[in-house]
Amino acid sequence: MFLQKIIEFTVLGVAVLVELLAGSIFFLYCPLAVLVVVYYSRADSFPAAMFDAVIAGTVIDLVTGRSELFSPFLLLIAIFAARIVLRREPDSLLECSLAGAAAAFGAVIAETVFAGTSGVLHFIAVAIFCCAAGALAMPVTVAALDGIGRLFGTELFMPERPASLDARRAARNRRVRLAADRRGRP
Amino acid sequence: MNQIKEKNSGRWLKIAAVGILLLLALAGYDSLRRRAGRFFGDFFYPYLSVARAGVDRISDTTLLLYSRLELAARVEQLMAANRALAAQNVTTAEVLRENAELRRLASLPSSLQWRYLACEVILRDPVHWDRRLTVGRGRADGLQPGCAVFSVTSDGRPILVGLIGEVADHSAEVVTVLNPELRITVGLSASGAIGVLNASERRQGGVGIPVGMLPASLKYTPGESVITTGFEQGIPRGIKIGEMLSVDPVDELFSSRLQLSGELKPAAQLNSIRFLMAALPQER
Repeated sequence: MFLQKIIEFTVLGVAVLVELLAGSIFFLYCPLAVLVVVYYSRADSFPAAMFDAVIAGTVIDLVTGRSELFSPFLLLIAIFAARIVLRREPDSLLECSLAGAAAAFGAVIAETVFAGTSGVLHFIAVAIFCCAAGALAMPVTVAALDGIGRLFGTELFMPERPASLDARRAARNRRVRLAADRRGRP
Repeated sequence: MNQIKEKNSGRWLKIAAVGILLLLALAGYDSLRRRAGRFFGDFFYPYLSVARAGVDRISDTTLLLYSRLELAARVEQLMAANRALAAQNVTTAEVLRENAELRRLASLPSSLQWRYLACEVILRDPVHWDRRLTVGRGRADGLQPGCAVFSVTSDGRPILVGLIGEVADHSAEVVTVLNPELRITVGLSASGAIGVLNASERRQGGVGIPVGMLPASLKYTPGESVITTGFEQGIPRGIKIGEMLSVDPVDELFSSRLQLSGELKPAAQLNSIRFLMAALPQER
């Protein structure tokens, strides 16, 4: 648990730093913190991810000197959006992609509400681009952070399931055991 | 069953705690920004400056991609520019000497002296990229809130970019002229009018910055230069801010307005700024 929290905050700190550097050097709005909090909303717990969102968002707004606080809301809306799409444990990377696209869409809506936009067409263009970027980036984030999680033995976003052949073999063994039990009954 | 209930109540308790934390952050954000914002600026400063140093190194290395002939031509150009600036410097020194002599004869106090500090932009907010930026100089270098920050054009003319806002030990925030929070007095060079930047009912959204409190009795021409007045303590006089785009039309017979609003086009190219100069007032 303690190790999980240390890794979570380290990853979140690195994501915030990369987001700030990308914005500063390349003028690129690269909301990595969104992907990380969405990851931990499943890998850790939903309240823990909400806490991470509030802390990371406040730090981003403070460092960039924004006169109003909006990043925590952006992150919270993103994890709620991802939660709506991904209600159960994901089975495939496609589901991760959908969650990433939903989170990005939520973030774009929040950004439009808080920071304003210059027109409907601009909003649609940004929304399409961000959803595509989120759909591509989320599986990569899941793969990378699950790799780190496996390394340190912490909770994963997409836990490993037994292969289908193993599952069938286990089911057969169970059936054989049950049949043997029935036969053994008087 | 009880375990599930306990788990659910614990979950809701955590969500409520996060909600309270969010409310606290929202309510106290303004004071938090003043107190903790620069602390975070200093905390992230080493990482940001290292990244900036890396980018500068790459940028410098790209110079080597030019051929020797191109580099030689550029050196020639720079030498010519230096000669022109040296000649201008001699003229300015003579004007300053005359000014000091006249002030002495008229028993006027000597004018304010300025020290200039070169700064590099280390952080920009991609959301409000033209309203605020962070430079890699701070209190340790003598920067104070309210100091003027300007860029210099290729022909050596200073252009006002903004004022220093919050200052940390090694970094400072620059509030640019496009930020509606920045209000300074501006002078129109042709009409001689004085107005206030961002003090107008006109909303920002187009290319122009609103200018308010312009006297209705004067005649304005589109394109006239807008400069700093020197009324504020940290801003030297005569730095160009931009050019007037338009001023509200007035019906001379029927209008009773005493003040007009207008829009100015900023001269600072905020999308390509990398280096800035800060003006620090010195003791008389």
